[in-house]
Amino acid sequence: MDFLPFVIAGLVTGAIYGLSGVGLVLTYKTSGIFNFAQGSLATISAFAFYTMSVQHSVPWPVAGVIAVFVVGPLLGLVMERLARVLAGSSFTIQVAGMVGILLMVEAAVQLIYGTSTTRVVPQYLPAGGVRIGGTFVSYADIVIFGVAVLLTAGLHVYLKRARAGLAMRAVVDDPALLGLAATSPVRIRRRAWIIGSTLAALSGVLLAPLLPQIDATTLTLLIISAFGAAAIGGFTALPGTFAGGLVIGVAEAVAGKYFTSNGSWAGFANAVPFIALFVVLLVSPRRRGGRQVKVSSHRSSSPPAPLLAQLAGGLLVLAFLAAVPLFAGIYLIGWMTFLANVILFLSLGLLVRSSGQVSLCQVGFAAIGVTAFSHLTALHIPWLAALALCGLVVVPVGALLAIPAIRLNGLYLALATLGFGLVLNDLFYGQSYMFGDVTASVTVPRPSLGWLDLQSDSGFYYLMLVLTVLTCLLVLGLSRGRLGRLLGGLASSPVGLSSSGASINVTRVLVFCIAAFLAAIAGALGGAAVGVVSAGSYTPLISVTYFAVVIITVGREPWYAVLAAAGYTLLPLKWTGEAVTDWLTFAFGAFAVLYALGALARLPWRRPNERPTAGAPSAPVTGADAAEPLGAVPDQEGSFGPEAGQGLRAENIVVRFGGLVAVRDVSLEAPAGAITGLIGPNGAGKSTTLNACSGLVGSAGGRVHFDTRTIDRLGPAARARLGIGRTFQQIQLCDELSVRANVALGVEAGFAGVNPLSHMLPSRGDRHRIDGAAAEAMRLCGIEDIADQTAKALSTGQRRLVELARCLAGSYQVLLLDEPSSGLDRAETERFGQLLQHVVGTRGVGILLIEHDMSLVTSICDYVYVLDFGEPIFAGTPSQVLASPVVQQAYLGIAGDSQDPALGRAG
Amino acid sequence: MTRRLSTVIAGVAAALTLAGCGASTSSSAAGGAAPASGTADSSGAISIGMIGTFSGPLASGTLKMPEVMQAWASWTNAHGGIAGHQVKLYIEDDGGNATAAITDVRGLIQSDHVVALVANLSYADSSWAAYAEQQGVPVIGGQSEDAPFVTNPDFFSSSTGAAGESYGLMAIAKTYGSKVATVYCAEAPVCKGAAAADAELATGLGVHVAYAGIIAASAPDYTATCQAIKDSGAQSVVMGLASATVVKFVQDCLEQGVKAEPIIGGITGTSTTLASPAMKNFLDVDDVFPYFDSSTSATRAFQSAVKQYAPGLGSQMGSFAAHVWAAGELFAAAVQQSGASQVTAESVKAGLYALPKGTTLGGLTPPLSFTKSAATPDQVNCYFVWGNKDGKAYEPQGLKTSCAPASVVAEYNAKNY
Repeated sequence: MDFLPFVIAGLVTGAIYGLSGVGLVLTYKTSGIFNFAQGSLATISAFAFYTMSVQHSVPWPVAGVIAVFVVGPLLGLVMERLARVLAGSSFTIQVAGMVGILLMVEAAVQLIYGTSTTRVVPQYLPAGGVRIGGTFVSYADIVIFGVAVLLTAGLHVYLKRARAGLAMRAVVDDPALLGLAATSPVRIRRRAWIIGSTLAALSGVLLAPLLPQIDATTLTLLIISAFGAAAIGGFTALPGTFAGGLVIGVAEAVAGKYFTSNGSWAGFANAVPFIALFVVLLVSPRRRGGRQVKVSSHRSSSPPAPLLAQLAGGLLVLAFLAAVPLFAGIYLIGWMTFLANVILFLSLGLLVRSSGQVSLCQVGFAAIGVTAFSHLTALHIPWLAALALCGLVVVPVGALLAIPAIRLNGLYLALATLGFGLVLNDLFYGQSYMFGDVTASVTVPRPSLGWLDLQSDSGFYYLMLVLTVLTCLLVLGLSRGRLGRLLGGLASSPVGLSSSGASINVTRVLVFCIAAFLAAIAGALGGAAVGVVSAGSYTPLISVTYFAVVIITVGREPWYAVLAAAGYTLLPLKWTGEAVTDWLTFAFGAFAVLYALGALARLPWRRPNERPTAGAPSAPVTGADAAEPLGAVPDQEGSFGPEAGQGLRAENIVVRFGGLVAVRDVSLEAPAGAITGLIGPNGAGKSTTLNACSGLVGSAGGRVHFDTRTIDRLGPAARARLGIGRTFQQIQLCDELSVRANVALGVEAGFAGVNPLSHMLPSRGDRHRIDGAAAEAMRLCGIEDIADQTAKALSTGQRRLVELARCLAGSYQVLLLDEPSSGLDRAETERFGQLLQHVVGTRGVGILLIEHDMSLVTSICDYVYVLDFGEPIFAGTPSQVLASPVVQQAYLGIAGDSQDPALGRAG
Repeated sequence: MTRRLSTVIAGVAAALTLAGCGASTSSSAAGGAAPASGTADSSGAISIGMIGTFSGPLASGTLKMPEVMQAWASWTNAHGGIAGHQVKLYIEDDGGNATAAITDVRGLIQSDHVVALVANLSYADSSWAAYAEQQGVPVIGGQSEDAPFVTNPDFFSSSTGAAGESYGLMAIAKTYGSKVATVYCAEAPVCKGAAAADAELATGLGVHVAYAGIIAASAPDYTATCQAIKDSGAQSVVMGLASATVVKFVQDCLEQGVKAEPIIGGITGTSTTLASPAMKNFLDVDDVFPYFDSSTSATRAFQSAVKQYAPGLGSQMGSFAAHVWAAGELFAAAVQQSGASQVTAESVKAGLYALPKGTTLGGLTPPLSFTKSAATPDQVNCYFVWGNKDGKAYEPQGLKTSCAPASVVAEYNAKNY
C-alpha cells in the first residue's frame, strides 16, 4: 500500500504526458513530420487563455473555447502548411523548420510578456476533490485524466473505424493511392494537423493552472517529457503512447520516493522521462526505426571557390583575427569565446552539414570536455596533454550516442541526443567528476610556459587562434578527403555507400567521435578563456539553438563555422539591450524556418544549389555512345575483390516481413562469366531476393554462398568487399556529389572498408588507383562528358549509367542489377545490353539481372529464373522461359509493367 | 559559477532556456565627464558600478533590481549625496553569461572608472572576481552566497552568507521538531548541493532530514513529493525553490494533508509569497532586514525611496530589493567613514575597514565587520527571521538577528568552497 499514493499521483502526471504525446503521435503518423514545436503550440494557447481570462477578464469558458477551438485549429493550419512544404525535404531540414518555430515562440513570448511578472493562471475547474487510497485527488486532476483517456480512446476508435480516420492512416502509407480514391491527402493531413494542434492547445489550457507559473519554456519542457511516452508507443500507437505516459508518470513518482537529494542520483526522478526516451530508443527493436526518413548533406554542393581565392580569403581573415588584440580592448574575452565557438560549430557541422545527422546534445559534449579538462589539469597533467585527453574522454560518449544512429533513423537519433543532453544535465552535471553540486563550477586554467606569456589575455588569444586555425585545417582536410566523400555518401545514400563496401556504421561512429572530440576541445578552450565556468552555461537546450545556427549559415567549411560563431558570439557583445537574447533567438528561429521553407535559397548571396532539392530537371544525354569501342578493362591493382571466383549461389532462401513471407525457398546461381536473369511480375519478390543476396535484408532461412564462402552473416558492406556489386531500382546515388565522385566511391568505399583509419587516411597510391578505375568505368559507360555535373542534375537514364559505372569501378565479381534499363529508351537499352555483355566477356564477372524488358533479357541472359508470389516457378534458358506455359500464364501474359520498390518491400 | 543558489532558484522556471548567447550588455549612467581611474570625477561625483544578471533565464528575480539601485542613487543624491559627493551609477547586465560579465566588469573599471562595484548580482562573478581584485576595486554587497564573498578579500558582504542562512533554516526547523524535510529545485546542480549542505548542518543541530526531495518548476503536480513528506513524519519543510514554485508546492501539500511547517530562505520571500493564500503561515530566514519593515529610520528610508523612485516593482518587491538597498547603504557608510576628500577605490576600502565592528547600518544588515589584511573576507553569520502568521506579515524577533556559531560557519565554508 506504500506505493498506492505514488501510483495515483503518477497516473495524473502520466495522463498529461500521455495526452501531449497523443497529439504529437497523431501528426507524426499522418504527416511524417515530428513536431518538435508541439510544446510551443501549447504555450501559445496557454498564453492566449491567460491574456483573455486573466488580463482581460473574459469568462474562462469563453476564453477556453477560443484558446482551444480557434487558436488550436489556426495553429494547425499554419503547421500543416509548413509541414506540406517540408514533406519533400530532408529530415535535417524538417527538424530545422520545427526547431525554428520552437525558438520563435519562446523568444516571442519573452518579448511580449517579459519575465518581470509572475504569470499565474488560477484554477478554473471546480475546487476540491476526493480521497483515493489516502491520496487527495483534485477534481481538476480527475477532469484532466478523464479528458485524456476519453480523447485517446475516441481518437483511437476514430482512426480505426471512421472513414476519415482510415484515410488518415492510409495517407501515411500511400498518399497517391488515397488521391486516386477521390480523397485529398492534403485535406486529410490538414485535418490531422488541426486535431493534433487542438490537442496541444487543450494541453496548454488544461496544464496552465496546474503550473506554478506559465512562461516561455515550461510547457515546452513538459511536452519534451512526453516524447518518452511517444517513444514507448513506438511513435505510432495512440493507446501505447498514452500507456507510455502513464508508465513514465508512475515511474517518476515512485522514483521520487527513493532517489532523494541526499544521494548521488538525486535528479533521477526528474530525469525519468528523458531516461525513458533515451533507453527506449537505444534498446527498442530495429523495426521501431519506423519509416525511413530522407537524409541529406547540407554543405554547399557547388564547387568550392578556387583554392587561391580561398587561401587569400583565409589569410585576410587570419590577419584580421591576428590584429584583434590591438583593438578589442575589454572585448578580447569575447573574441576568445568566438574562437572556441568556431571549433564547436565545426564539430556540429561535421555531423549536421556533412553527414546529414542531427545532434541535439553538442553542448553536453562541451560540458564533459571542460569539466574533464579542469579535473585533468588539477591532477597536474600538462596543459596540452590534458586538452587532448579531455577530447578523448568524450569519444566513448560520442560512440555511445552513435548507437541510435546505427540502429534507427534520423528522428530517433535526434530525440536520443536530446534525451541524452537532458539526462546529462539532470543526473551528471552535479556529480563531483563534472561540475559538482555545491559550487557547480570548475576552474579552467590557461597554460603556463616560462618563455611565453600564455596567461595573459593576448597571449592566450593567440594560442587559441593557432589551435582554431589547426582545427579548421583538420576539418578542411577531413571534409575534402576520403572521410568527407564518405560522409557525403552517408548523407545522400547510405544504402549505396554500404553496397559499395564502406561500413557505414563505422562511418557514423567515427564522425560522432570526431564531433564529440572537437566539441570537448571547444568546451575546454572556451572555459580557459573565461577562467571559471558553471553548469548553468551548458544548459542542454542550448544545443537546439546551436543546431538552428549551424544549419542557417552559409558557406563551406570552415566559413560557415566562422559566420555562425560570429553571429552567435560577437553580435551580442556589441549589440546592447535587455532583449538582445530574445531578439537573437527569434532571429535564429525565423531564419531556420525560412531556410526550411527554402526562402533563404532564393536570397542573392546564397548559391542556388545550397539547399538540397528533391529532384532536378533532366539534362540531355551527352555521354559517348556506349556501344562504340569499349575500352580495356580497368586496371584492378589495389582493388578489394577476389581475383576470380565461382559467383553467387543462393539456396532455399526465405525472407519474411512480419507475418508476410516475401520470398520462399528461392534458389539460384549467378556464375562468373554469365548473365543470369531474374524475372517475374510485380510483387514477385525479385528485389527482395537481390536484397537478401546483397545483405540488405536478413533471410529467415536458406543460405547464400559467394565463391567458396557462406556469407549469410555478413552485412552489405562486407559482401561488397568480397565482390558483390549492386545497382538499385530506386537509384542510390549521392545527389550532392559529382558524377566522378559518385563513380569513384565505388572503389573508395571499399578501400575505406571497416577500418576507421582507412576512412580518414588513404594508403599511398589509392588516389591514383581510384581515379584510374573511375575514369575507366565512366569511359565504359560513356559518361565522361558529364563527369563534373552533380548527380542530382542528371536524367534518370544518365543516373542509371552513373550507378552502373560506380558498380564497374569496383572490382566486383558478381553484379546484382535491379531493373537497370528502366528509364532508358530503346537505343540506350540496346547499347546498355552490349555494355553488360562486354563487361562479362572481358572481365569474367557474373551478372544477376532483374529486368522487365524481355527483349533485353532474352538477348543477353544465359539463364533465367522466374519468380511469382515469392516462389520460384521456372528456371531455364531464355528460349525455355519464353516457351514455358507456366511463365506465360504467370508473367508474360500480363500486359504492362509497374513499379517495384527496391528496398524494404516485397517485389 | 558560484554558490548562487538564490539566483538559481529565483529563475529556475526557465533554467533550461533555449538560448545561450545572452551576452547582453546595457549601461546607464547619469551624465558627467569621465573621471580619472577609480576616483571621484572633476565634478566631485563618485562613479560606482552595478553588475548583475538582469536578463535571460535566470533573471526573473533580479530583473528590476537596477531600478532599486537607481532608486538608492536618486534618493541618496536627493539627500545631499555621500559626504557631499553626488553618485554616478553605471549599470551592466551580463545576462548570466561569463564572457559578457568579464567584459562588463572590465568596461566598468577601465572605461567608467568606478571606485566600487556595489550590489553584485552577477551570476558569473567567479569569472571576474580575480580581475576586480587585481584592479583593487572593492565589491560591496549584493548576493553574499557566492563563492567570492567567502574566498576573495576584496568582496565585502552586506548580508548573511550561505553557511549562516543554511544554519538559520535548520535552527528554525528545529523549533518545530526534530524531523525536517527539504525540497530543492531540480534545475541546477547547486540546488542539490544546497540540500546536501543543509543535511550536514541539520545533523550538527540534532535535526534529522527525514526526506530530501528535488522538484522541477515545470512539474504539473507535486502530489508524490507531498506524499513522501507526509510519510516521513517531518514537522517542517525547508524549501529552496522559486517563489511561484513554493506557492504551488505548498498548495499541493496542503491538499494532501501535509502538516509540516513551511520554511523558506532569503530571496524567495517576496510580496507574492506574503500575499499567497497558501502561505498563510511560513517563516523566511533572510540575509538582510525584512523588506517590509518600517521600524527604524533606515528601513523607512528604503520604503520611501522605493515608493518614490521605483513604484513599479510589483512582485519584485522583496528580499532581493532589500539586499540591493543594504549594499548601497554599506557603500555610503564606507565613504563617509573614510572621510577622504578624494573618493577612490582605496579610500572606500579604508572606510570599510574603519567601520565600527558589528555595525548594522541602522538595522538594515546583520552585524558586519571588515578586517584589513585578512586572507579571506569576514563572514556574516547572523540572520533575520520574518514570515506570515495567520495571513499577516510578522517579525518574530524584529530587527534582531540570530547567529550561527563561527566554528560551524568556518567548517561549512572549508568544506564547500
